[in-house]
Amino acid sequence: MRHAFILQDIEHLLWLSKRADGGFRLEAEGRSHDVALCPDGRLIVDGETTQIWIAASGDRIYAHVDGEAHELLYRDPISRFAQNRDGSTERLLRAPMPGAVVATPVAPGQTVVAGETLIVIESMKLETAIQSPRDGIVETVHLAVGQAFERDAPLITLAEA
Amino acid sequence: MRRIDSRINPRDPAYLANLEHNRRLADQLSERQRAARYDRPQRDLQRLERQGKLTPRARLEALLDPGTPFLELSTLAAGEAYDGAAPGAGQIVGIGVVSGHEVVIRADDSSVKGGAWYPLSVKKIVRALDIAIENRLPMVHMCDSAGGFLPLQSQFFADRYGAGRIFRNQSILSKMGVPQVSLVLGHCTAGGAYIPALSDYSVIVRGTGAIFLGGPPLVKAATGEEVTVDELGGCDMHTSVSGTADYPASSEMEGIAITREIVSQWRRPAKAKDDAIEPEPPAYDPAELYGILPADSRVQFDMREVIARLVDGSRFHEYQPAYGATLICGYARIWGQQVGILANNGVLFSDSALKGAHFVQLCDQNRTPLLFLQNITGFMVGREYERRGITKDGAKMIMAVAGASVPKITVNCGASYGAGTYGMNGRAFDPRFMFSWPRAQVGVMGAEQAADVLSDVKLRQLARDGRLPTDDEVAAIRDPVIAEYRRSSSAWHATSELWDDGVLDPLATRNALAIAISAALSAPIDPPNYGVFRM
Amino acid sequence: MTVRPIQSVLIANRGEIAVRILRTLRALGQRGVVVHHAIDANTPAVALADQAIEILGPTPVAAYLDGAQIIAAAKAAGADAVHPGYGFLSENADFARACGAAGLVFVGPRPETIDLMGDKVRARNFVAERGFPVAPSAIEDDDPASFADRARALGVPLLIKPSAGGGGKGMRIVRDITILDEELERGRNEGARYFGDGRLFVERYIEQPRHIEVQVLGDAYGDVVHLFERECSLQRRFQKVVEEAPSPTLSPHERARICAVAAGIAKAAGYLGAGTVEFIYGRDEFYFLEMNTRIQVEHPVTEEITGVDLIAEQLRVAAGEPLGYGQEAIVARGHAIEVRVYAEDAARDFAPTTGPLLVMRPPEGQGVRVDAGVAQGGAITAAFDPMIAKLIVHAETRAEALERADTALTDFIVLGCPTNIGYLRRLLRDPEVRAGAIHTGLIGAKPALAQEPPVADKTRLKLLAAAALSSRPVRDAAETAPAPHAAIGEWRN
Repeated sequence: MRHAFILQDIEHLLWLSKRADGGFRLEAEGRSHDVALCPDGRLIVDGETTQIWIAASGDRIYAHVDGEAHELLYRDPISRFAQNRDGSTERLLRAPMPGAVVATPVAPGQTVVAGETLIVIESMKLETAIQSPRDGIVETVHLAVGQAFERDAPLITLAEA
Repeated sequence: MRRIDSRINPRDPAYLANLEHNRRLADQLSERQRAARYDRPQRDLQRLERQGKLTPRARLEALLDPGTPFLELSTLAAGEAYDGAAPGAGQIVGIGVVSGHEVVIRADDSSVKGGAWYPLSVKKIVRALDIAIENRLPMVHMCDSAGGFLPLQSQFFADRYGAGRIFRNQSILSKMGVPQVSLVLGHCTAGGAYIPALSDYSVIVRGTGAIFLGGPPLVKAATGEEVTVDELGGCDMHTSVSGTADYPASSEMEGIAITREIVSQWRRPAKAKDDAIEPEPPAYDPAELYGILPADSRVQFDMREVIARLVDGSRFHEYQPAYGATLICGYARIWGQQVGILANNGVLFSDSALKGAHFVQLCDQNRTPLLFLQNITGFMVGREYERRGITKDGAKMIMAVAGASVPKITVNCGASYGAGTYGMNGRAFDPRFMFSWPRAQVGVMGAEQAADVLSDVKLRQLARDGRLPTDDEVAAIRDPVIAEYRRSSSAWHATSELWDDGVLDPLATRNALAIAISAALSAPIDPPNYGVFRM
Repeated sequence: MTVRPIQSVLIANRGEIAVRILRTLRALGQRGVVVHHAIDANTPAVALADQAIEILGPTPVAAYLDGAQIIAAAKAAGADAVHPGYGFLSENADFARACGAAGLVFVGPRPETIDLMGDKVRARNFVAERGFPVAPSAIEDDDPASFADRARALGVPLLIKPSAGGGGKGMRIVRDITILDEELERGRNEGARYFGDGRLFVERYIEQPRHIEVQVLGDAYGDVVHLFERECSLQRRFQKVVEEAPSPTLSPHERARICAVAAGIAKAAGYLGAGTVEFIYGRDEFYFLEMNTRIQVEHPVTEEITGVDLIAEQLRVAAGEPLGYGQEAIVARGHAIEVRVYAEDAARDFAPTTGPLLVMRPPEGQGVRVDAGVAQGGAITAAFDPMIAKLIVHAETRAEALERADTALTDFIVLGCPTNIGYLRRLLRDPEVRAGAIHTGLIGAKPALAQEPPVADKTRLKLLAAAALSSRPVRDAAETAPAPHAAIGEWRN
């Protein structure tokens, strides 16, 4: 089972192995490459050296190379393949961006239909209505109007279908 | 360490003829393996797809660490049995790397008769568990079996090495502290239910995985109770109610990912020997093996030429180079790991047997695993040799081989006959791994010799009737005997019956041996200890 | 008015503008005091200040809006003056009055001027009455009953604005006269929500307008100079993204006229300190838009072309010193461009992003200036707007400045949250932007620029290699493979 990274919304599979001489071999996109990352930020791929800046925060890796910064997300294999046919993660709606709550039109216990607005958030003067992914019953409204939150903060939990 | 000085002539017509012959054999092997792995009735593949299941081969690839080798064992098991109804005996077994751990992997091949167990399937499963026990290798089971193949139950149930041995071996492996995980990807019914139940860890896939002693039809027949598969033994019931299985998985791939994470938690015991050095490829092209191995199995060849194409740098430290010349003994390395090699260069005499017995003990003292390269027609016979104690010296070699504490691995490179098989660590001597080359033959004696013995009876009968058989009559009697003997002593038959752990392409042998040696070193080695040598 | 030397200044702000003001204070040998909410404790402004005083509030923003607390801090610190920066209390006349009442110099215009210019309708009338150009308009307050009809009479396109508004909030463009009433209702609701005031006014909307503003500076003695114009037409949802000086579109004649109008308005208002007169420009016409009575975010481009330290001039005139020079002393040289580096995800509709600034390495070099309020080790949070820094470049020509900006953006390394740096590079390379053919709707008309192009194959391989080599699970897996197996690699028998 290969490692998966998301770059620009596309999943890339790769594997890294150690060669007998201590160097690393990267298998990616059907090819094998000799790779090394020096502590001073030099990245060597098949003998070609590039200066790179790299920093990791959790499963997110930020790298500046060839004049641009990019974000890669490491996907843990178990979460990657969890289908949740019981809908367990679909029950929790998270904030797509940081911001503050503008309106909470639904209350716990309320029956909602797919597409119904569950919470309205504001971020950089831009209002976003978070809609229900399915028919269901609201279990928890995690935030009150005016409360600020970070990206991925829990907003609404729907009861089990 | 000196390199072996190869003396082959690649322009020699015999070399070229050998090349063609052995390439054909290698092609035959790869074609047989391909068919055993992939040729399936379309409806079986469609059934798997309909059930949302991956093919067993896809599951295997997803389980393994990419960039690492997988040594598949007994791929052609049952290849000559059941009219070919159970390719690979419906089991995939091998040694691979999962989350950085060397493990034995055993998977029911649900694309063969729904993964039903034939007698040879049971033999292959028991052998896989024996490998795990002997080498202290953790084990991953991928369970998806319809259960025992009832019409043949008398051949796999009651005996010592019957299906019960699977569960006995699982229990013993656990008792030894070697972990097992079962990934339940289909139904595990009746005895099959105990595979996950006896595993230290188990993962079950929601929707398709189920474990029960009796399936819904059996329950209905027995008690009249009507129950669904999920209620009776599904993922959620077993992981949240009965505790028969440990981890629920929402898909096969998630189940495989969970299994990989479980394996990654296991301890990593130290190797029995940890003095491997940086590997070096052989100095001679291994592909030349095809030109070296004679097309006619009765033609002798120099085993040093073979060793030169299996070992690191073709470097070989030969022990007693001038004594007992028909048995080559010496040290070499395979992918950095040291081995002591015993290789036949002719029939065994007293001196070669004594040399072998001595060298086995040297390796045992040195904690060096033994590699037997068989090409042996037997021990020398005759009055003079018996008077010099050939049987007594052969017994010494057998005693040494049987008693050695270090791991032993055997490759049948051509012939393995009679007492030679014993002295050269045949299957009965518990080699940790036993492989055959496609050209190999194994039996009490050579085909020609056996045919002579067998046809002699008939020919004498003709002689009593006062008839002198014509050449054609002799051939008519001998040829079918030879043909049948050749078939039953062939590598294809041997591997079908699980007399070995698989047929290897000579060119795959170096890698296979490296994996086998590494696996064998996973178990601690007892101190040297032997029985009584007849002096 | 007498000169009242300033020795110690409290900065009622945060982030890059606080740092910017501290730099000038340091150069002038004056003491710099900052107030800060706890969330900003580890920012460069606090580190640079001679004294930092923590202020409290139910939210971080509320703390910086708490004038009484800030004045108390200024008194406690022994400051003579308060510099409000931009945003927060900078255009709050009551705060300016309260400073005066507390014996503190408010570094900005007189409270009456703030009041006048803060009321868009009054400001517009003030300007129109003195003969300066304003767009045809209808003001609700003049006669609420006929407001809609008067608006309709102006003809489309129309722009609806909240009377109390600013910064583009609550503005609506109407191109279809039949939906005017609905749009007025929406504008009223938004005005009420954002500003607590639903009053509106409507003016003629100029299609593809350019936003041109003029920097002015007045002293306590009625002298006013302008420091030429800035063009800020590259905007997204009324938020400036790129600002430059001079404007690439104005002829020398137009420049002289628009700058003279701006200086005239400031003079008429008796303007004290630094201010900006904003104009809408289109079809060779320009109309007064509004006057901002504070230092602007984009003030550095003016500083770069004129060589004038606007913060120093603010402090000087606030202390009662005369300008001491005339218009002829202000000379513009070269071309300056400012881009605002934000923590935002252009591809996801510019959604703000947050995260730790794991690496922050601003570019350096000739003609490159970075005004940043955050540094490596800091973080971008949802508490404030997600600005990371302003990058300002200065070169002889606009083309050279664009080139320099591109290089500087390439060298600007920010890791830890997605930024708009890539977007800014694409924007500055756009042919129309390069040609100077810009208008306030250009960014909105080019949504494709917001999409990050797929990375080149070679770059992708480098990224994957770097990610693999610096991810623990990937590296651990490589390190744990048993030796012969790792050496053999992928192999099947």
